[in-house]
Amino acid sequence: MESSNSAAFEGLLKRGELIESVSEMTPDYLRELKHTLIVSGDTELISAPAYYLAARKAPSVNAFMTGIAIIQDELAHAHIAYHILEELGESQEALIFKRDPKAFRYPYAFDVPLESWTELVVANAMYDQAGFCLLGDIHEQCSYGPWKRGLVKVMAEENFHLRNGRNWSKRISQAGGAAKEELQRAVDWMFPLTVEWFGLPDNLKQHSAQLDYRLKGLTNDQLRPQWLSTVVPFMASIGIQVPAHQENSHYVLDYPFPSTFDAEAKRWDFNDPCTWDDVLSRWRARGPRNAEMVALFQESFSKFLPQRGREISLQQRIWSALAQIDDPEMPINLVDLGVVYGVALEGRTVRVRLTFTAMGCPASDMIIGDIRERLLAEPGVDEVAIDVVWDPPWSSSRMTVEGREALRAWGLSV
Amino acid sequence: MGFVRVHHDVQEYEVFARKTRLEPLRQVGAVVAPDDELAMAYARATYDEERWVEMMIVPKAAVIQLWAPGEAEA
Repeated sequence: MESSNSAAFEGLLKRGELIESVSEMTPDYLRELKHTLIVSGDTELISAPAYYLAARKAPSVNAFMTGIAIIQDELAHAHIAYHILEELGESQEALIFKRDPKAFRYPYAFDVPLESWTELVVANAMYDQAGFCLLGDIHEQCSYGPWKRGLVKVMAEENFHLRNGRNWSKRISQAGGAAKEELQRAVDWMFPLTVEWFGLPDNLKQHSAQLDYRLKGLTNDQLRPQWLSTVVPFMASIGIQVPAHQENSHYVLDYPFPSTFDAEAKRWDFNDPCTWDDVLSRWRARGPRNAEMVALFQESFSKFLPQRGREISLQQRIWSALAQIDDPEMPINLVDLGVVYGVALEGRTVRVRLTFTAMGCPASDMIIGDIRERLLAEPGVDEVAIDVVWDPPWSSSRMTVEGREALRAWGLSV
Repeated sequence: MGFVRVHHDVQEYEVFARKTRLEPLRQVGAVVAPDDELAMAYARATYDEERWVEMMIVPKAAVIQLWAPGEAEA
């Protein structure tokens, strides 16, 4: 069954058709799709707090409202990516509110704070241009139908952000004096960070499954020049210097790529070239404001929880109790494994809808026993009823991101 | 498909809209909410990219699928 399914899948992909549901996908395709969506959702989401911290410095109420409208767009774009992930079996709440800040997958640039209106509009002109290149490519090429259609809205709105960035940059530059100097300083540190946005050069990159699966169409070395060919002429047209120039039909960087960046001082040292390993370890360590940005939305969620009153607290306690029960054979709890399909309260009886990873699973009696024992220990619970269900069947796509990471750390490839 | 939210039972709604009287309704996205009222608010706030002449939401559970992509060709 697996092989005929994957032959049909290869056929769809080769004919340039769109994939529409999980049942048509191979597990590898599903994994790459989810990974690509997480990067996209995380990038849109983190831009909201990053832009918000700067929008508060807007020079007028009108400008502030433009900033807020852009932030609202970014949240809606994040919603599109996370909702698709949800339809693919991930928990949206777990992805947004329960991940460690360092586990978010967005470009390093957002970890360096935007501290003024000028820096915000430069971000609109350069970061959103990078988003426009990357998402435009996905919008054109993506083989997953729901995402391709969802990006129609995203592309229209990114274009508006870009225009806001360009209009304001032009206006600030024309004002001259200290305002223009501030604009130049912002471009000086933000330009090379956006060049980095496109990732490693192709010759250092491992083979990309995203290209094979048509999740995107262009490589890093094709997208980077696309960005340069829009940003470099624009900056020249408003009298702002960038460390790149045109040679015949292409654009060349005027500094060693990569170079060393001092995030606290927002300063590049072009006399100190570094290796891509250095850059990768800077990215991995995340930047100065990573935890703060993520806390901006995670903290309000955790404050919101206790206010919700008692009627939900037992339900919540049951879920956390279930999350404390490990699968007898692997270091993963039942909730992260995705075998708990539902919890219902009927008076003092808890009804759990449960599946197993395979029929005739030898550990099933042990798991049922563990659940009963653990839930009966919860105050307010007198009886535990467990309904074992096989529809929908369990698949590895039901595991949470944390669950998958736990199994990977244990040495299982998932 | 049920979705997990901490506070409530929620359901998914498909969002349909059109820009002009001439064009047909099309699906513009989806929202997940505990009730119709909130689902309407989410749909309005999330899919505000156009000045729609018409917008509606339909609980996904109410949609009856006759066949899915791939099934008719098989």
